[in-house]
Parts: sequence; structure tokens; C-alpha cells
Amino acid sequence: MIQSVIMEITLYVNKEKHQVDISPDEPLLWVLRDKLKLTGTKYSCGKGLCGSCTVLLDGQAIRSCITPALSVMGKEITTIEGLSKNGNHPVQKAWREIDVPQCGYCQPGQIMNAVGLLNTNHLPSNKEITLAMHGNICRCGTYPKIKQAIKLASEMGGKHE
Amino acid sequence: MNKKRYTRRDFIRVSTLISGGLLAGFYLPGYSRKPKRVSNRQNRASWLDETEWTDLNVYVRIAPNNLISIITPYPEIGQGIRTSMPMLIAEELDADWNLVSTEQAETDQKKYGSQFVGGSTSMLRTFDLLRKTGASLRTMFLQAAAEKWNIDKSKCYTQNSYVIRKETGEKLSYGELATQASKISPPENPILKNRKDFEIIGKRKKNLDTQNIITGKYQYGMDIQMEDMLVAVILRPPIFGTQLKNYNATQALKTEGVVEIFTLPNAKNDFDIHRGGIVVLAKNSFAAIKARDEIKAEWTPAKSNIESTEQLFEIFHDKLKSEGEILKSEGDFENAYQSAEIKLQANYEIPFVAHATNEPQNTTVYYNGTVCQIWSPTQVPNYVRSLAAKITGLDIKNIIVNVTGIGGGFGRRLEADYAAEAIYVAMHTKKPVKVFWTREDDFSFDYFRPAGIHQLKAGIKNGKIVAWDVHHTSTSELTFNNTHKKPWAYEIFPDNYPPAFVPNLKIAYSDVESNIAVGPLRAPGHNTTSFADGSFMDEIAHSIGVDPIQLHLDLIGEPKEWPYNGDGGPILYSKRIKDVILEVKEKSDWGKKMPKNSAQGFAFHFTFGGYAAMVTEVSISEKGQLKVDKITAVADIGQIVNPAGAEEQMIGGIIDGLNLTLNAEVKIIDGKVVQQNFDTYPMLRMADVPEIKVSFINTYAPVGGVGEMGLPPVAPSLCNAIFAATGKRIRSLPVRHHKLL
Ligand code: FES
Ligand code: FES
Repeated sequence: MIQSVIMEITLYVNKEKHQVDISPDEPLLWVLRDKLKLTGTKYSCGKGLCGSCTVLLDGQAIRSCITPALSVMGKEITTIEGLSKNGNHPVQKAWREIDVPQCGYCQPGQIMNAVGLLNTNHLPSNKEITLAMHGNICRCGTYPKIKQAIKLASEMGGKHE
Repeated sequence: MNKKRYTRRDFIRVSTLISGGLLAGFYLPGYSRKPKRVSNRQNRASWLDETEWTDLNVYVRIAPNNLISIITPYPEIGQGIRTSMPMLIAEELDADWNLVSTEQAETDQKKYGSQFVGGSTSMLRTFDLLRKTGASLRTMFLQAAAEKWNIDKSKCYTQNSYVIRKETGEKLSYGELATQASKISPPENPILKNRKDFEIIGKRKKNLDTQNIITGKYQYGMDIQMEDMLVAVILRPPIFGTQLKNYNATQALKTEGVVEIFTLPNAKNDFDIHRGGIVVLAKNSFAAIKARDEIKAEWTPAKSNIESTEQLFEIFHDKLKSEGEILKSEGDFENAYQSAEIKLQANYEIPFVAHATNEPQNTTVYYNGTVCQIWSPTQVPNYVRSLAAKITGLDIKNIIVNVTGIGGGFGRRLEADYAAEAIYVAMHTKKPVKVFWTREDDFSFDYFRPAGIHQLKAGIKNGKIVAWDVHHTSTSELTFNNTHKKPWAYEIFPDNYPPAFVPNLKIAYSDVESNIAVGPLRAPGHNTTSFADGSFMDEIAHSIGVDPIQLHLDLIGEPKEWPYNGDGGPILYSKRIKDVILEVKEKSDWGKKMPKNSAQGFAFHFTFGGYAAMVTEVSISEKGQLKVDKITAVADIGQIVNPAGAEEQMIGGIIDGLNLTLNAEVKIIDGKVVQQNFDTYPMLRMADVPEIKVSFINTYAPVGGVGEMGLPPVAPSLCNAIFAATGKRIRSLPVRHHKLL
């Protein structure tokens, strides 16, 4: 029975090494949230449809709810908690400046997705922003501010700290 | 209601913190108002009970190092209350805003009055009260400093959390003065600031929680973690009106991490508001979700046969053939209609829609037999507390309800079903347990915005609307809650504009009973009546060749105060309607030349005391693809506490309205909810958001709410624009089902 198989794997999350027990089909999202207690990464749809669970995998934005933890062994994972020390990543700075959040639930995912975008495209156009952010739902409707914040972050040099 | 009598001295109570700072609490005598909503003591509509406002108690903590913590008594659902409420106190206290932080109040109705949030009422309920709180404290600090310097307090003034001596410029911080100040008896009638002297209220302030949110530290209900905590998901009856018959969990129990599988009791008491089902208790979320899929369950047949949207709409159509319950009748509709030169009739169909809060429902409970501790993302903390007392049989003193961060409300969290089931689960486990919903649960077991049809008729004579008739039929929220008295009360508003302004008028309602769960959703009732009324006004204007805005202005006529019996009443000011309309006309450059296949549409709606007018611009591509290009909104919500927050709420409401208009629809087939996730329930994305311009006028009127007013005018203004661009009239939502070319 595949159900009872448990394996111990090594994950590199926010520059730290973790040994965790997982089942082979367990998504990274639940490992982060339940086992590593990194609850900044949110669950909303569980099917890759909303972006709330976005984290970085070697600098690229991925949906942790549909990524098996097993598949990211040995790779560098960054969550919202590990993005910067005091929230001083340029994207977070821009988010603070524009004061983006309403309820805030989607925001860690939005931020991580924006960081992923700026990692590959330092000066995205409006079109490129809306395209890249298409997978991230904000139920409260903070989209105009998210867009503004991404532009600001890109002006501030959103790539690295 | 406020039964206790308070003396003046009770108004403020202050004591010293152990650390030497100051702790202030307030009781306000006589602060009680009769609920304006229909009172409902039945089981489900929890929030209705919470409209009884009693005395309020607010705490301010000032530490020796001058940091201030202001307690927010109400839940934050993204409406910015944890910023705007502290602003009120900080203003009158002359506090340094940079030193202010906020914390969530404990749940205690005796101390804080009702702590529910809904109906855009929070500001209304606390505006004067919290300012008085700040003003009293400020006077006490002045007095404390004057005593220290041995001068009269008129020789000092306050600024940025300091008392300053006029002659010398010497300063003492509130933190330094706290112990002294706490010994001074509070003034009986603290003097409030003149509005023109406001330095915090009316200024754009950033959300106090932003830093925690953007670093992932802000804790939502889903994020509650504690030692020994178990998690659970529930397999609920998949069809409305069914119950569990039997089940087999042999396979599910083999899933690694599963602890136990058991059943919830079926509903037997009136407080049993959960749906029953099979509980999967596990060590982690993934195990619980996975094991649940393995359970084989059998359910009883449904009690009623009205279990599909299609069937329901047939019943709605039938109901429209009857007269319905007459809610209002003025003048002589029949006569005026028959003698009218032009007669118009149209039906507007409204689908069920889901709340789809971004954070799915959840609640964590620890029950040990004597104490029950709850962590819940709820809009109705007092209700959850009394519910827990009933379910557990414990004294309410032993029930502790912690309001967590909340990933969106929109009315969904006015229901406490998800808290109730967690309490039952915790009574079984006797260990901390978090019951959480998957997205699929969240869609299947939502309390949907009611579906229905508005049938409108109008008679026009000499270019004037002389007769208006509405017959609205829907699955009423209150009927679902077993309150048959006024089933229409949340669905239609007989005193609202425009119908109430027409001399010969008839308003009727027919409710339809169904097992399908319905409940309040942002701007309840208004989010559907606005579509019908606003579209119909536009139809009338086009049928007689009058500019749609002009038609409104003609109907509004001279300034007059209209009686309004409902939330946002008791008066509806026609001048305020006119002013927002004229302002949006100018701001949107109404009537400007538009490119081919694009057009403007107009709508106005009065929601819970707020006046909002909107012009929406759309364009339709050669292929019939709709694009919303721009929305210009003007609102009169009276005085604004935090302009940044108010603007955000308006924009949020507009975007919510866009989603409801363009996308949202829940279908039910054979008693099952078809839409289970965002693949079949499309949500508005960044690319769909138009340019949005919001402005506020008449900010000298008394303070109002803002959470809901942006939403209602979206559907009619958008559909009116589609008509102007294409000649195609949208009479059912969502728009995505219509071919536009
Ligand atoms: S939770 Fe992963 S995309 Fe929605
Ligand atoms: S801020 Fe609430 S979902 Fe985006």
C-alpha cells in the first residue's frame, strides 16, 4: 500500500537544512506548513489555481500545493519567512510603501510570485506584470496596488537585497 | 440591551500597569440602540442577535517608554478596522501615530458590547465613543503634567504623546506621566476636537498590520499551531437535506498519520447548526485530506425535491404569476399603468454566488471538560461564545474565544457553522484540534447569495415615470433561517430609490423554500436589487429617448427628505443622490465621444446609508470580447476616518462587484454544488481590472460605513454600458454567459 510508505528526505528551506518524514505524494505546501511550521505560505485552493501557496524554487515561483516535496529534494526553497530578515527585500519594501494588503491572506503568495517575476525580468512592462501575476487571485481586490508595488520594486532594483 | 445603570464616574476607569504604564478602560452609559435589522432568534442567522449594542469597553495601554497599544474590539476581515479604530482614539489623545500598535480584544459582550462586524456599521457604532475615550485620557495627561510642574493645565498643551509646557517648552511623555495620570479622576465631559483640527482622522494612514502580513507573521485561523494539536477534515452530507446512513472507513484508517475516524452527531437541537458527517482526525492536514477520499459513505435521501437551480428557476417563474406578498402600495399602480403611454416590463435573473473567502473556513478548539478555548476567524465572536456554551454545557465564563486574523469575510463569517462543528470535534478529542475546510468544502457548504428573479414594470406618461411595480421572488435568507415573518427583509428594500420616488407604486415579494443554504453576502439584497433597478432605469431612458442620467435627475426632483425604514435610514436625502450623480457625471466626462464599439453606462445605488454613483466604460472587440476599460465612482459616505482605507474598500467593492457581474455563478444539480474550485468558478484576475477612479464628496456629513457601497452599482452600470455599446440588454447574470455580438 502506497499509503503507509513514509520516507525521510532532506529539504533546504530558507537556507536551512531539514530532515522530514513525508509520504511520497505529499505536497510541499503541507510539509512547510504542518511539519516545518512555516505558516506564511498559505493554503487556499490546493489545485494550483490561486497562487496563495507560491514559494521560490531556486529563485523561480512555483505553486507549493501541487509540487510534491519529494521532487524538490536538494533544491533551494525560499518562503516568505526567508525572503529577507526584517521584511526588507525590495519587493516587501515596495509593498509597505504602497500599503498593498487588505485581508492579507493572498499577499505572501503575491509577493513571492512578484519576486519570481523580477528575478527573471527586472523591468517588466504592464503587460508582462499582468501576465506573470495571472495565476494569483486576490479576493479582496488589491490588484491595482499590487501592480503599483511591482513597478515600484522594479524601479528600486527588485532582484536582490 | 443596556440594563445596568451607570453613573458618570463609570465612564472611564484607569489603573496603573505593573510596569508603571497606564491602562484605561471605558464604560459608556446609555450607549444602547435598538437593532434596526429584523431580530431573529432562530438558529442560523447568528449575526442578527448581535445587533443589540450594549455598553462598550475599550482599553488603551501606554507603556513607560511611550509606546501605545490600542485594543480593537472588532474582528478585522480586511476592512481596515484594526487601523481606523485606533485612529479615533489616537486623534483625541494627541498620540504619536508612529508609536501606536493594536491588539485584538478578547471576546466579551459585557465589556465591549456586540463585537460583530457586518453591514458597514462598525464606524457608526463607535465613532463618538472612541473619540471621547481619547479625549478623556488626554485631559488626564494634561492634568498630570500640570500637577508635576505645579502650574495650571491651561499653561500646557499636548502633542505627539507629550505634554508640553508653553512658557519653557519642557516636555513630559505620556509614558512618564502614566502613573500620575492614572490617579486623576476622569473628566465628565471631555472636550472633543473641532474637526478642522484633526491630525489623524481624515488623513491617509497605512494599515498597522502590513509589516506582519508581508513577512508572513500575521496569523490567520488556518495558521494556529500548538503542541499536541490534531487536525481534522469532515466528510459532510454531499446533498442538501441528507444525513449519514452508514460508512466504511477501513481503507481510510490505513492512511499514515490518521488517528481516528468518527461521526458528528446529527442535528437535534436548535443550536446544532453544523451539517453532521464523518470526522477524519489526523496528525497532519495532508493525511486528513487523503484519508477522507477513501471513506465510503451512504446517505439518506433528501427531504425536499427542490434541489437544482433549474427547478428553482421554474418555481420562480411560477411565483411571478401570483401576486406575491404586497410590501408597499402607493397611489394607484394599476390605473396609472393602464393609462400610461409607454409600458415596459422586464425580468432580471440572479444566480446563486459563493463567498469564496481566500482563507477557507476553519476553527481550532481546545476543550478539556472544564474550559473551552476557541480560535476562530469569525465576524461574530460573541455568537460563537454563546454557541460554545450551549454545545458544551459550560458556563460562558469558561469559554474563551480568540478572534484570529481572517482571510476575507464578505458575510460568510457571519455564520458560525464551521465553529460549531469544531467544538463538537474537540469535545470528542479532548485535545487541541483544528478543523479546516478544503476549497471544495468551502464551495459545497457555503451559504450562497440567494438566487431569484426581479420582475419590473413601469408606465411612462409625458416623459415621466408614473407607475412602477416590482415583484421579486427568491430563496430568502430569512426563510432559510426559519424566520418566516419578513422573508423579504434582506432581499428587497421597499423605501429605496428609485421605486420609492415613483408616485404610483407596488412592491411585492414571494419567497421560495429550499434546502440550499443561503446567507448574507457583501451588500446583501442590494447586490441584486441594484442590478434590477439600475438596469430598468436605463431601459426606460432608452425607450423614451432620454439621457439615462437626465432620467434620474428628473425622478429625483427637488431636494427632499424621504423616509427610509431600513439599515442606513431613517432618512434618504434626495439631494445627496443628486450630488453624487452630478459629480460622477462631471468626473467621468459623461457623454464624451467614445470609440466605436465602446460606451459608458451609468448607475446609482443607496446602500446602508451610503450613496454611490458610477460610470463604467466598456469596449467590445470584433470577436465579441468584452473589456471593462474604466470605472469612475463617486460616493457620499459622510465623514471619512481613513481616506486610504475608504478608497481601498471602494475599489475592493468595485472589483468584487465586477467579479459578481462578469463571472460568478453557482449551479446546483441533483442537490450537489457543481462548482468546486476556481477552475469552474472563475475569479477576476489582475488583467481584468479596469482603471478605477474613486472620489468622495460631502465628507462633512456624519460618519458612515464604506465596506459595501462600491459593489451594488457595478452590475447595472456595466450592463448599461454593454447596451449602449451593442444594443444588447443583459437581463441575467453573469455576463460571461451572454454572446455580445
Ligand atoms: S493553494 Fe496552491 S495555487 Fe491555490
Ligand atoms: S488581500 Fe485579501 S485576498 Fe488578497
